[in-house]
Amino acid sequence: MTIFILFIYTIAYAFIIFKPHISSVTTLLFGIVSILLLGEFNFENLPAIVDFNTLFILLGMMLTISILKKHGVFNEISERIVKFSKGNMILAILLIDVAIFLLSSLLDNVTTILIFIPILLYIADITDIDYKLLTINAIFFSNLGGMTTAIGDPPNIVIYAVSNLSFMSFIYNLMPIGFIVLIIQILVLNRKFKKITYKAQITESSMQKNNTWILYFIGFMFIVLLMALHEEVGLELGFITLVGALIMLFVEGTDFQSVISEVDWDTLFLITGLYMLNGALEKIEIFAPLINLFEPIKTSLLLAIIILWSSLLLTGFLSALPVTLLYITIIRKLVSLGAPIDLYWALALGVGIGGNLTPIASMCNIVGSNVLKNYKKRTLTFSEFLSSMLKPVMLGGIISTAFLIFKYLL
Amino acid sequence: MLTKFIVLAVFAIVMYFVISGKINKTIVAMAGGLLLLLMGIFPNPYEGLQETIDINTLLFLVGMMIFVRVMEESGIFQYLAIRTVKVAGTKPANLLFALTFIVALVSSFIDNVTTVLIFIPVTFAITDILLINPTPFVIAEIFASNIGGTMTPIGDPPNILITSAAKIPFLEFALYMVPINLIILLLMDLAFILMSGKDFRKEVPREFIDSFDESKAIQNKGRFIASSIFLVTVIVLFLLQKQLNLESSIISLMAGFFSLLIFERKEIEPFLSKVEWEVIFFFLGLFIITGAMEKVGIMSDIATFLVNISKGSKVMLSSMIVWISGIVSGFIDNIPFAATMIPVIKQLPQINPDAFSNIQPFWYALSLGVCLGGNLTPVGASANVVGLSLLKKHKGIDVSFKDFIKFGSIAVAISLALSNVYMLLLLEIMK
Repeated sequence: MTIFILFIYTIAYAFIIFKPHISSVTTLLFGIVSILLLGEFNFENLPAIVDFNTLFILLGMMLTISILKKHGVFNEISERIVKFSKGNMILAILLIDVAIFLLSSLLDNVTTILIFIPILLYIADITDIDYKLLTINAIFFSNLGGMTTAIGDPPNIVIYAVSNLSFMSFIYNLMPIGFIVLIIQILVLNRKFKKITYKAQITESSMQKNNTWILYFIGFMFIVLLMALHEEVGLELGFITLVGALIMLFVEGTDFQSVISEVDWDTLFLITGLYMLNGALEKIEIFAPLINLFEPIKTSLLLAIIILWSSLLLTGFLSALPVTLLYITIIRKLVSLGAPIDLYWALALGVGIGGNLTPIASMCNIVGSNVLKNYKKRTLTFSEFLSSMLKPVMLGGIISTAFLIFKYLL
Repeated sequence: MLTKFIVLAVFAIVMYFVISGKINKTIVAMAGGLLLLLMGIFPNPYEGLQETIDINTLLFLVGMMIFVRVMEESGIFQYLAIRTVKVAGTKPANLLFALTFIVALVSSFIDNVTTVLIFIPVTFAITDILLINPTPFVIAEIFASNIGGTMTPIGDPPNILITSAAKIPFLEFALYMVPINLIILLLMDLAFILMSGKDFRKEVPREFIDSFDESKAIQNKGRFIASSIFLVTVIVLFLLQKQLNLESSIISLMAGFFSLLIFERKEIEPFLSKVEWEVIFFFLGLFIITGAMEKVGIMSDIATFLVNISKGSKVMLSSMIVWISGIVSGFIDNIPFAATMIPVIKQLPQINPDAFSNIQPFWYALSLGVCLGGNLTPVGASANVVGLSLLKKHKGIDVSFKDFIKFGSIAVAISLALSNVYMLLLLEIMK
């Protein structure tokens, strides 16, 4: 039985690597098969295997984004940035990069990429900056921002749901690192752009606009505030996001189907499938030898660094979510045996930064490359992507290592 | 007492919006459900969710919706419709019988709305040539789809709820439900022919019937054959459910996702968004609301009330369930009604263990009532709404509420009376 389940697990991961476009469905199917094989399974105890909080957070956030997008909240933000920069294109680019970072920390990374890359490409058109450079940096900032909060990207949502750490603790521990990497990378970029001194004439758009977007933006900020206070209020993030999205839907009064068909079901099914596969693995106690191996060093810095770098590198090939699910099962066990919770941060940093390594490491990389291809007919090859990302990824990895050393020594 | 009142008030408000349609019913149901969870009816919101939600039903629906959409693409159902017309021959009465029976058969496996969408266009093609009124045919097909849906656990959403809660295997349910519904269908067809006699005297020219070409429905022969095999396999799996010890949600999820992998590998994402998520989330909201009602004891109050007025008589209670649920479902959505009644029926043995230790027959009474009652009015079931809108869109015929009820009341009277008689028999069998 053990061998059989391991076999299924391997095939499921082979699909994730080699057939990513159908992997959501294959993972789910293999997941169902593997828990069926264990026997005595019944859907009523599905919540014990699949974490519904994760699914609710994702669903609530996706619905919220869909409504915000509809009301032009993101267009407004980007317009304001361009206006604010008063024709200084380099400033505009850097501000957009910061906006990508900040928005991605609260919203889905793919959404921010889809909004801002076209604007960056437009700026590249009038300033002769390399399209690929701008695209790759936008992707990097989006992944980096996603890493900094509990709801920023799916791996963090999984870590949040499994670990029971609070929303604010993610911000305390991960945001500073995100900011340091952001600032260094912005400085690097600024030096690259130094040579360009282009001033564009911005034409004021005199279009009449309604201001409903502000209402929705404030609503969204209120949801974020509730999330920050979720421990005090005593509610799970899943409820806050879902109720928040529903209230917005109420105010808007549209039909549910049109909003919900924008939800990214692929991700939801992939996560469900991964939870099932890992649930099966846990049942056959395949992790026991690994846990025994790490148990003696569970409190040492070495383990945290191993987790950081191995998850960082693995993410490049398996993509972030599968790696997260794989590691989280082991880390949860170790933490319950007395290991420090910093192991969770090591994992979040590893998959968050590793998500930049290759074009397939996260959804945002695939979508970002596609936008470039659709708009400018340029393709980012695997090696191009890897070579331009290598430096910022190493930078992130080193700063994270420093953070872990700092945490363990104090 | 106060919590009971609050829960009941939430239920009433949600029902008001579901019936009046002023706000999207899914949003209202979800909001009501989440509100109850937040108010602390359950010790902890997540426990509340786990307690109330019937995951089996939700997953089953997701799987089936995907499966039916994928199967539809192969043209397999259109093919069946055209073959039926060809086999039935030239007499309109024969056509009516053939069409309604095949509609019932198809809708016992796929959802009623899809069935109506497939068969009504074929019907229009016939009535156009004959210059006869398509209305009786369309209404008969609507009724047939609702009757057909009653026959199996997967034919109609209330049945999915009922069989999932009562854990009745596919074959057992079908065994009790197919014969009675076929008889109801037969009687209803006869009543239709009597009521609109003149439309059934003309004869369809043979060459017209022959001009239908069923091979046109098939765009890709390989896919058609593969889909047919797949469909038959899934049906067999459902029939053998008990022997294989598989839950229906597992069969349906596997069917849905495997069919997606086999036939629509390139377009997985669009198919996933085509699932009627609105319905799934409506169920989710409803489960929480009815679960909360159960938790605070409203359901057992209703059950006690039913037990008291039936004075412990099984015959009386089952007749009441058939008629009340039939008539109520004629006017309001039968899904929330079934979801409300299920916990009530579950409570019966606790209230009067002597008379109601075996609640098995009452599940069938509920299913017959809620599913067949949907035929009463134009808004009784979604197949009615869709079928009538097709009639209006393509033929410009507007069937009024009164005209529909003329057919509906007869069909429902036949259905419920026969069901009531059948319940007497079932009560004997299931003693």
